[in-house]
Amino acid sequence: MERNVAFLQDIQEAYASLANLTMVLIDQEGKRVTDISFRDDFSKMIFARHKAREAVVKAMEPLGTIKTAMLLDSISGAKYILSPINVNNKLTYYLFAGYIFEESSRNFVQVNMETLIEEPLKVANALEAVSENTDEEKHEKMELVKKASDIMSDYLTLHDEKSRNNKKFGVIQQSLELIRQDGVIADTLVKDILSTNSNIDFIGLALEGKEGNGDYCVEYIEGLNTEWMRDHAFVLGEGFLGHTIAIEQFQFWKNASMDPRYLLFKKFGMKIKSLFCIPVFGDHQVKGAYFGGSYENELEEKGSREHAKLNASILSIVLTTKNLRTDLQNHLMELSTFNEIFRVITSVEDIKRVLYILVDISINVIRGPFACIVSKPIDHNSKVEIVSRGLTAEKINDYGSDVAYRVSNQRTDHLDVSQPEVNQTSWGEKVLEFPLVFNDHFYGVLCVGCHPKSNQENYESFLSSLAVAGSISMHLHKNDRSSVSSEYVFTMLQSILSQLGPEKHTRTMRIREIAEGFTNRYYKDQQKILSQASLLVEYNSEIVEEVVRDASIKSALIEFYKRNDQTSITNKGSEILSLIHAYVEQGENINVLGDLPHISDELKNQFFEYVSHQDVVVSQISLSRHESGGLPIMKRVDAKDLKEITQLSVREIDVLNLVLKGHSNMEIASELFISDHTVKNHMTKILQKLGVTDRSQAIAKVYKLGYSPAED
Amino acid sequence: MVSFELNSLQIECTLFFQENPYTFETLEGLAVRLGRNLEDLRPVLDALVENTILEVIGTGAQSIYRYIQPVWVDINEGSAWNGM
Repeated sequence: MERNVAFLQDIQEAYASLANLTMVLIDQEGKRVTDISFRDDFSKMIFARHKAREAVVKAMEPLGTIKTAMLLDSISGAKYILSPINVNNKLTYYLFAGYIFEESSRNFVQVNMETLIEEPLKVANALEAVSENTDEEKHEKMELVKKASDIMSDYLTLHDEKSRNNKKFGVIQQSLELIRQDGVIADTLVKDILSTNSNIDFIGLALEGKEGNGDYCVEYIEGLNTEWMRDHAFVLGEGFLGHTIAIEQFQFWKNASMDPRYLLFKKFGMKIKSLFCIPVFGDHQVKGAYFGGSYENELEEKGSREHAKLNASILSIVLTTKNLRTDLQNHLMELSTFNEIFRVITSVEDIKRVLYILVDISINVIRGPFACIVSKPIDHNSKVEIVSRGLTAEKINDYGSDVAYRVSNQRTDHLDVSQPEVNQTSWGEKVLEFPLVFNDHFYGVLCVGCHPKSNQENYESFLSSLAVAGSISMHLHKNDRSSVSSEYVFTMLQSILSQLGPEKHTRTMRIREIAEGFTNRYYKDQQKILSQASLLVEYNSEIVEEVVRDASIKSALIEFYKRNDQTSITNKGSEILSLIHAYVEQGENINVLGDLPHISDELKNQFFEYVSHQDVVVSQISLSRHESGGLPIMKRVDAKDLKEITQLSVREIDVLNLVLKGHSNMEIASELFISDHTVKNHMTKILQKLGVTDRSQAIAKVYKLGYSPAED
Repeated sequence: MVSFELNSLQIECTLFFQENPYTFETLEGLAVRLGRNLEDLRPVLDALVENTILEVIGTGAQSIYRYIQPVWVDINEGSAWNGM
């Protein structure tokens, strides 16, 4: 403002000099804006006594607001000019210019002044210095004052526009920054926009309701007499705002009061001159309308369009950003909630609970009238099982039978798990039906009733995922029913055994350990069966018949219990179990293998090799303990003994020595000056003669025999 | 686009009542058991009552919430699932 005042002061000085009048710029309350530009002692005398403010206020009292420059009478009898200065068509300041003495008025003024100021000589001297003006001169002075006022008015208007524009850009910049920081609030933005537009008396923002069914509501509004309009609801196409949203275009009404759609405003006493309205988009869809208008000034269509477009764009960005953030938050929430549901649904042991979860979560999500699962019980083709919430017995029967009938006439591979089938119950309720299918196995249908107006697309993907999770859980329950539940029973039986027969329990655990290790190496297909079967070796066939559902485990155990009554065992699992049981029962003595006529030689050899290999570690530990002076020395086997025991040639023993030292075939070839191929041939023969299948078994076997290679 | 609000506390409460179907508890008691604020829990329980998942017995601060188990029905439908 300082720069402005300096400029105004200069203009005032220049025109005071040109018109030979004392001038000062004052505001509407009479306060001085510029310093007084005195041109004569008479003015100084008057201002010293009355001050400009009093002079102007007194002069203005009978006039009210003046719209053009006027020649007014002062109390002294001299005349002065008061010229209004408008900024943006709004009266803001006055330019005071005085004094003008009409022809032959000097004596009259002197008499008047002498009644006001008791210094007649001073008054006489001051009046002596002023000159009387002809009508022509008065006219010239008036023109000069008007010109000064116009210049001041133009300058101030220009400056005001500039500062408003700066403020507008400031608001835009600030808004964009706030959007970036997620701090923008639509109502603050609306307030800021209004404060930067002097011609507009009110602005507002109407948005679509949450239901998304064509209902709109004025969410934000700022300006005089607009409170009543807040929360005002309207539908698509209704009134000015509804019309703009419907046609999705900018609308401008110059004489809004002539339009029938003006009724709404009229009803609340709003006398609107101009009105504009523009649709606000979010996510490429109309989300509402930005509107504004004036009460007295007529707005310009072009300017209003630019203003509306700019601000509607900002508001669109605000709304889109807000929606995106909400969407993102909801997605994350949806994902984390689904993860939690998935974790629970796939870990619960009771199938009933799985069905309850499906029903209850569906109802929570869709908030509909009912949810149910129509399912096929395992091994019961003639039964329909229904778990429901929100249905009466009669409706359950009616709808359940209908679903079962419809689904049974469809092929499983024709059921689309990614999309629900939309149906209607016999009593007219809309229902989404999600097939519960996994790995081509059909488990039932998740049926979720929804309200007629609800938009199914909103829930489909979540409920489809829920149905898939439910199907997986039902699949797991069906397929693992034998193994999972048996495992639980087995654990319980082990727990009982540990209480009632601790020795038997220890033995059982050892049998299991060996069975798992042995089958892992030689009979992988038996590993899972024997891992569980071994836990029941101390029980009998009655218990097994009662608790074991898995046929493989059951038959392995039944034949195991009968092992002593048979000359041979046909079941491989039973045979392995019998062998390990005997071995452990006899204190893990390998010699027991000779006393088991019903066990095949092949299995015995494999077991022997397995046990030998397992003993390597024990042997190594024994050796080191011996060196510190404890356990008895093992019998040493030298190369000659080894040759005799194994029938290995000298060259093969050379190769074996290097194998024992950890050399690779290539290193051995290099060391013995032979080819890779020859080393391989030697290795094949070594493995054959030792009766083993790989290098590690060969190492184990020769260590077991008590042989170790000579040091270099 | 997500246009429904999934309340994780609502899901948590549902799973809690399913796991403990014989719970008879006041709002305050549930807040303690779930380690949640009364203010957060109250609207969630109201929603669960509205969804007929819970039943509320009595009024005021001492009203008790309990789980309504879904209805479990078997229908004999002859050859209902033939071919499935």
